[in-house]
Amino acid sequence: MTRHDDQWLERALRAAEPHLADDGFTQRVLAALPPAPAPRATRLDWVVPAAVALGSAVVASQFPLAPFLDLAEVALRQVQLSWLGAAVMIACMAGALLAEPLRRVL
Amino acid sequence: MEAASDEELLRRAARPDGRQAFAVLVSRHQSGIRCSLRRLTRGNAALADDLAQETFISAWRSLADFRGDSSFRTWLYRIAYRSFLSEVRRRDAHTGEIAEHHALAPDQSEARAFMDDFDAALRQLSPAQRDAVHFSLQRGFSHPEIAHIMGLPLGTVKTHVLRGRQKLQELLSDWQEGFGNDKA
Repeated sequence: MTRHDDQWLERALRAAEPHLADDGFTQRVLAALPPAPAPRATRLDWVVPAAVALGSAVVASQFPLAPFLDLAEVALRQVQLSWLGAAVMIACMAGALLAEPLRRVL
Repeated sequence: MEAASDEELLRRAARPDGRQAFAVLVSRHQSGIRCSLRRLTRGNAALADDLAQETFISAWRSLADFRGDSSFRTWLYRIAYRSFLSEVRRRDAHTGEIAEHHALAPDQSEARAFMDDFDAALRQLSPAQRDAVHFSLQRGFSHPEIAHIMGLPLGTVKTHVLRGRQKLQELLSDWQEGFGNDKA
């Protein structure tokens, strides 16, 4: 028996197929829909922050630390406000990098 | 927007203001999904509509997961079939009545009689054969699409469809010269 042999059955079933009127079904579905889902975070979302962090670590490792330590010592003694500003700046940069991936995850 | 393809509507639906595009998709597919679920639930219209609503809500929640590996229609029927199977597992729905509520037009009494015979013939198939035959004969899905919807191996689906169609043809042979042929 081939597919061709029972095409009459396929035709008959499709001819008898009812079409259900919407009767408010679509509106009921729309009323029950939750808020639009946020796109899920993907692994790619972490690539930029991770690359920036890695690059920063590599660059930092190439710098001699002694002058910076001396500067830090001076700064700790004399320029407390500058350190506060630097800390705020670093926090802002980190926040900008991590905000989007965290928003998608949360 | 009504003339846009499913894929275009999907892209629009995925935007923050995509509800209207999604509404068009629901309106476009509601009849087919609800009819299929009525058949799968053996005529339980209330349960079928609940499952259909659950299907569309689940699709809405999963819009970001749709990768276009299949057509939107196939993806939607896969969600519907999985909702149905979950319900079957939960309440063993295979004992319900078949097709008591099919909404045929009043002047289609012959169609109604044919569908009653078809439903009776379907009862003689296994549940998996019945579902595979429905997706093949009434929804026009290909074997690979049915395999995707039902989550079965392609070979199994081919066997179910072939044997189911053979059996239906035997059981409904009285209709072969009558209803449907002159309407093709």
